[in-house]
Amino acid sequence: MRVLILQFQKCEHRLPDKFVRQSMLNKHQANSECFFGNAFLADDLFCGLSSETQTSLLAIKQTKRFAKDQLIFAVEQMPCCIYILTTGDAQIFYATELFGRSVKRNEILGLTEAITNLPYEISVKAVSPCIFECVGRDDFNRFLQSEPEVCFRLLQMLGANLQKVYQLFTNQ
Amino acid sequence: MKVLNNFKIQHKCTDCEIPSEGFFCDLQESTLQNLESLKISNVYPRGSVLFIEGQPSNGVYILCQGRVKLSTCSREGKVIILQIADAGEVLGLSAVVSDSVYEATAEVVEPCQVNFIRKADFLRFLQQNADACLSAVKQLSHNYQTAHLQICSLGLSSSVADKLAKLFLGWCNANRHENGNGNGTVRLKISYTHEEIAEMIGTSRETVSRLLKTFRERKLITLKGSDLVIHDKKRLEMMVGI
Repeated sequence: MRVLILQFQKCEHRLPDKFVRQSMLNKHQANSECFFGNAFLADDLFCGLSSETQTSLLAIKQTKRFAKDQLIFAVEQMPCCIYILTTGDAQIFYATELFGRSVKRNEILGLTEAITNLPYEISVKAVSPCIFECVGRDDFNRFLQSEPEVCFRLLQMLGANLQKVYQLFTNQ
Repeated sequence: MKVLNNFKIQHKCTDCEIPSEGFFCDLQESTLQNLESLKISNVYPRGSVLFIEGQPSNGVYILCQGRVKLSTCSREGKVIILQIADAGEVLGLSAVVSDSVYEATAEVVEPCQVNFIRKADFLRFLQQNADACLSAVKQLSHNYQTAHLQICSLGLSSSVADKLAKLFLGWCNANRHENGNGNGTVRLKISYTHEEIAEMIGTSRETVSRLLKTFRERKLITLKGSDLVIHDKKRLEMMVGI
């Protein structure tokens, strides 16, 4: 049970971003690559938690295993939980599998969708057998409500990532 | 209560008469009272600029009434509208929480009432009021998703027609609970000029006017005044390959 927290606190090797087929991309390629690079990492969000907070997080997470080529979630599906990749390789893609990147180790997927309860904007597929730690949407929102420190840290992460996204408009 | 430009200035959030689903409108009573002591209310006429892109952030602007255009300028000097903010939104939020410069220029498009809160006061307020912090997280998550869709649309569309169709589909999705009738027809109220639509998708007003005419001729849409009717959402989706 403690493994999850340890993994969050440890700086894991991060997979390099790459596209499946570069030729698909037009002149905005660099911008889009940059956009998909804005990952939310569990290491950053959940690091240095108090033992009580760790316990409450462990109580609401569950482990899910996915087979190779299995779809973890798809565009337009309503969010049910956040996913954190702990083992294996997965691919994020937008609209077509030709445009996307690898999921980073300990990356949180479906984070903003879980908060807004709006449909997923990306699809994620396992490219090898994967293990994800998952936290249900309602549980995660309750957790944020009860842990102001994590909530404030998330706010800062969102702010910083959003600033990077806005930079892409300037580069258009 | 003072009346200006046909709207009543709301001096206290706790006594606010405007029905709004704003991120900071449904806070707990005690949080709203804490907010009262920090805010400075101002009224701005159309054309006023609240902040400029690249300016160091000094606080947030809570939009109580009216509308504000948030735009950025590309390297080529092209204006791109990031968002038209409505009442209830907090402007300059991402810049303040990440301690960076304002990412956009905020220009008033409809006379508005704005509550300004200084950066240090606002950050302290968020740390001391968990419900306000969660509301701010919700707004930034929403902004993040909107920006994601917009950048993907701008970056991945093969034509301007694609971008315009995706913009309409985005509006359909944002209003999915209210205006669909189940047979693919969607009715929307839009209050944007052709110029503003052009700036949302990074093109010229002339191109937007021409494309709207083409969409009408192909019976994809009807546009009368501010009433936009999308006759067949599925056809529009097929057009952009969704």
